[in-house]
Amino acid sequence: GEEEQREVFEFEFSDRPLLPCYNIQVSLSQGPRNWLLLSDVLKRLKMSARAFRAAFTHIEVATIAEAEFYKQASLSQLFSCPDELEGFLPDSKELLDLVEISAELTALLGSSLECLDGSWGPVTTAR
Amino acid sequence: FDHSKAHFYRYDEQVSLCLERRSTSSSLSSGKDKHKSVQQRYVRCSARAEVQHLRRVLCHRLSVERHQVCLSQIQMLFNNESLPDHMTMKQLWLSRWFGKAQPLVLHYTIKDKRAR
Repeated sequence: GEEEQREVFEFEFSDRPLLPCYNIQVSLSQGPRNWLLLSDVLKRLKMSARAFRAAFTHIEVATIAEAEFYKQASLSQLFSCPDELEGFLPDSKELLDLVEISAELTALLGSSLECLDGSWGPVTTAR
Repeated sequence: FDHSKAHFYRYDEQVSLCLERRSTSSSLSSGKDKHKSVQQRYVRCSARAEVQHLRRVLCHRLSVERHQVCLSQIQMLFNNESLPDHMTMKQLWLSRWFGKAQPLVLHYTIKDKRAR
């Protein structure tokens, strides 16, 4: 939508604890973006991977080696609590599936989105 | 690689917050306190968002939920410390929450209009 073309602060509101979000560069052709683990999303939606991919064919699923994921995630100062990354293996070559945070995904997860223009423009609500 | 949008807030590191209402003595005595807490209290936003942005969004959120609240009534607190408007979420995280698990727990108060 229009918000996607403007620089706005996005605030995701939820009545349940939010799934962990990882700021990761998955390929050299794009900069760091914010991703959820597909496995976390599936668990919350109570869906299988096959059903998710069939229902949301337009939602891109990116893959990254677990070791690379761990390397990038552990560099973040916001993941300073050792418990939060303890489930990942620093040397694993397994692939992890990621889905990028978007307005559609946050709505699917039951969150609502508030957008705030950095120059104190109007606040809009998306669902 | 499109660098023209790389600075957008949505690509920033995100912080995860939990907003909890803290009662003021005047709101407790008026008996109106429990009705004014935001329903969706878990929040995710850019690490560059400032306390003033959070106050503004929270004010809007409470208004959507039919609470009559002015921006000037809302104050953000960490423990009992009032937070300055220009403090970013990253500053707050690194100075008050480093080493702890998400979400960062923040409190807010809604001052009574008559008490201002």
